[in-house]
Amino acid sequence: MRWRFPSAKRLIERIRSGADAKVSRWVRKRQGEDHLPLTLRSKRIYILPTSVGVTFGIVCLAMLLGSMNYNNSMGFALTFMLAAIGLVAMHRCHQNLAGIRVLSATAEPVFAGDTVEFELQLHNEGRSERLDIEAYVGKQIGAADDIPGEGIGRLRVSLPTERRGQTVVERFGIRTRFPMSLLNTWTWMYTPCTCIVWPRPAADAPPRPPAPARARGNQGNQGDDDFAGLRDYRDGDSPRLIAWKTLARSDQLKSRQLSGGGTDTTWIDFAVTPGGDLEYRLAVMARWIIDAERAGERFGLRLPDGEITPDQGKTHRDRCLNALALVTPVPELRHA
Amino acid sequence: MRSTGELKKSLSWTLLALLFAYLPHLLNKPIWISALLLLCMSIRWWAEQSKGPLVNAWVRTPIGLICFVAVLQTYNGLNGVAPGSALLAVMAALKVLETRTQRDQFVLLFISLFMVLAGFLVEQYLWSGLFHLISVSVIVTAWLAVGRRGKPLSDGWYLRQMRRHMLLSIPVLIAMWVLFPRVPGPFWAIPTESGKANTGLSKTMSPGDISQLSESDAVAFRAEFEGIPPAKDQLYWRAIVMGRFDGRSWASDDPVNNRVRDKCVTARGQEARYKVRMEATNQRWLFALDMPSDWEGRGVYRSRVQTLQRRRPVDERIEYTVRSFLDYNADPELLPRTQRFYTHLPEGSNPRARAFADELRKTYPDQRDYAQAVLNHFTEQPYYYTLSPPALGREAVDEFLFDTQRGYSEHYASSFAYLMRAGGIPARIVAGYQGGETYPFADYLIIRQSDAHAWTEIWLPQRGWVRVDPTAAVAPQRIEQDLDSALREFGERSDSLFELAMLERLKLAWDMVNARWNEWVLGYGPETQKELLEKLGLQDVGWRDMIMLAIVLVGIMTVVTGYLWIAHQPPRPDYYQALFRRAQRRTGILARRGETATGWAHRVGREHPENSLAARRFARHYLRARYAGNTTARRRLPLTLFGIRGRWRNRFRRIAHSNQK
Repeated sequence: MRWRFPSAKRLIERIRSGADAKVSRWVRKRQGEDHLPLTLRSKRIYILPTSVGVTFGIVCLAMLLGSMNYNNSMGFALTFMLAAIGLVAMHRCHQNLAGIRVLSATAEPVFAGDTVEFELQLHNEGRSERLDIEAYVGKQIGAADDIPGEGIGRLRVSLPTERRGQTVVERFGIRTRFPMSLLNTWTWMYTPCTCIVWPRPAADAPPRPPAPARARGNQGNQGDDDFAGLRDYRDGDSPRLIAWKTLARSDQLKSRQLSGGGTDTTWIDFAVTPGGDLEYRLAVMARWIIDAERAGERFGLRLPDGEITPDQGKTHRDRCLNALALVTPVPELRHA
Repeated sequence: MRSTGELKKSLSWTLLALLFAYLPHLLNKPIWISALLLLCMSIRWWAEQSKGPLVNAWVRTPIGLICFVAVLQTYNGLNGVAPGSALLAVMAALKVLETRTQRDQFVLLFISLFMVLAGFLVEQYLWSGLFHLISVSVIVTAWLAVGRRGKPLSDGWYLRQMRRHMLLSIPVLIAMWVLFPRVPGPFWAIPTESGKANTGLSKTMSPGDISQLSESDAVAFRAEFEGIPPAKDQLYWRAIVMGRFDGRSWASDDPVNNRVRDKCVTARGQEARYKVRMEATNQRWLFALDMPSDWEGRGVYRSRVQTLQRRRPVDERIEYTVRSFLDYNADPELLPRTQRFYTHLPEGSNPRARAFADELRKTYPDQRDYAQAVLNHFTEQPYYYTLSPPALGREAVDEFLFDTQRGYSEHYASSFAYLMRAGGIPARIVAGYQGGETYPFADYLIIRQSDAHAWTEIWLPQRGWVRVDPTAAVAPQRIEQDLDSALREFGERSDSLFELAMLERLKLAWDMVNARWNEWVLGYGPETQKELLEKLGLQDVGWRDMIMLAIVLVGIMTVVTGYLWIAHQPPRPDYYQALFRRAQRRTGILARRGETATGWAHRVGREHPENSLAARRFARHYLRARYAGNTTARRRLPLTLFGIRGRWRNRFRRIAHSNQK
């Protein structure tokens, strides 16, 4: 292996992340598990100067030395004014975060590869407006927002997802640099928040094999030929269902809908999915579930570790997708 | 990177801040620097308006190098305030061109702050102080605008935030101003161009070099007398004594460490006490009326030639108190060696003057008569007082006495001292100021650079040094009134140049404001600080004690603010419950399970009518404080408890009774 020159940037990054982890562990031990809703009090609010703030301090010091050297009274006045402004900024920065009540942290499920958006709901219990409040998770920082006095604010922070499973945020941060970006006031909340990541529906999913997917125990509704109506053609529809006559008439590809849609039950079964790895099979199932729901079908789900009884509608679809996402082994993406 | 709208708003504030910070420098910088900065600002502003591209780095870098070299060339180096601020301006100009991010804008704001500081190093007048305050306000506003991370807000909002921020910082500013230990500087050498310009005096004097000094209206120092100031012809402020003469110019004869402790000055009559507030001169001499006897002030001593001096150069405004004898005997005994020093004349110089002196001395054998005769000579011959005398050659005294006969105080003092020495009388020149402007509003005199003066002292046995002012013989108005009158007498100034009386008064009022500004703002240094603290009862505090004091004060402030903050926090719900329990105990009626405060109060009213009102009052406040978050009710709630009249016996009995139940 080739020897690599140690890069200062990498070294600093390593020291930084090491210190971060240490501080985080200490804070975790200090604060313990948090339960929402909670009010941000001084005990859990931390404050440190930003790089601009550090520069500001150095500039003040330089000005102080200069004023002393030149015995310049106005120089002293300017220096003291800047120092006073810095102190006031510190106070206001802290006050800007203290007393906010965090009501909830939620996230809507997403498909793998999309970004998941965590939403924190905050209640400003004070009368004065809170400005430039940002939520963050790790290095992902959400947009700054203001919370009106005695009002509700919503902070969002987006995280990327890769695979189906769960995205778990172990630690939320809320920070503010108001008013002058000299100081960074922040708080950490150890409130594990999970977002389910559905498998991304396979784009090249084969059509669902119709015959074996027929339900057991429906009332002898054998015929597929009971014509019930037409609907738009969707990928995976059997050629037998295509309404050729309609196509000839109107150039529109329609599928025949068969009768018994209300009562007829189909099963989406893990066992009939085409071979391949688990993730691909789940992706195919996700595609089938979405199609089935869109078609208004009544369907059940069979997975190796259980089944979901047939039903229809969006809620049912979400439940099935959740089940797919949580098929063991569940991949987890943790953010601290 | 931020979106254009956000950048535009904060960028306009940043550019405005930079402009304000640069304005005081506009006139004393080379024109190309100002032009460059303004041009770059316009280019950047235009690029923002038209959403055009920024100037390429390939263009910026060579311009930067050229500018750097140009600054080096203009100022011959980078040492000092002027080249430093010029470099700042150039840096700002180039930074403006590439400003894109929040960070860039912060860099510009830092540069603006340094520009303000550089402005203070150049001048510290009251009006410029006020202007710089505005600049700092604009910088803070820009800072708020740049620091904003959400969507930009209105300009009015930023200004309001700035006002709030600045007002909050004032108490801290004042505390730091008064208490921050002022450590006497300097730590490193200051390249100063101002040393010579500030003072109206110099250690050498050669009549024949035209003085620019007398035309300067700048304030040299101010003197505040206890009681009525002496008459104008008594106000001779001595600073430098020159006894070394080389035939043309006089030089100060005081070696550095020639302080004397013994009483070489004794009183013969009137004395005066006064306080002198002196501007920085970067010299060691101080000003005192003839003759200083006692003084107060750190590092001040009296030299062998009866002038006050300071160990360190006066590099800041200082104050000291002096007692002077207006009638005095100074050095009545003089060693023969010293007498020889003060009668020394270089061989062969000014032969005509020497011949004239020998002639006159024969006529007047008495020293006093001889001196008077010389003065009479000045009065009787057509000598003129003028500020623009002809230049003199090598034999300056001869030329002045017999050819030109035109000059100002230096010429008269020099030739008089020469004639005295030629007559065998010890004589020396004293340089300082004469007179002072009295004040209609205040209790002090202003002595300006135009009051600079030179006179002569001759030594008489048993009498000591006696002041003789030959200028007074020629132009008595110079001494009794002022320079203007003297010049008018000799036709050098016309009345039309005189300002109106009203304007004069305004000028004086402005000077008074300035004097206070100088005293309390600019002159506030280690010594003033010490004085103020002594007035407050803190004797003899060094700057280390000051640091301790500051720490203690900050500690106290922290505790107080912490207490106030805690008191301001909304109390926890069980605080109200505790108060309710106390109210129950006080009345002796415990609330039933599930009973509201109002219900309880009604029951109290039924069972104990004397507590009816108080209990209802408590319940009302309780509800408002706890459930409506009413702060007034919260504050008053504990007080309402006292309205409930509890009777010990009854109370215990009732509690025991209800417990039995």
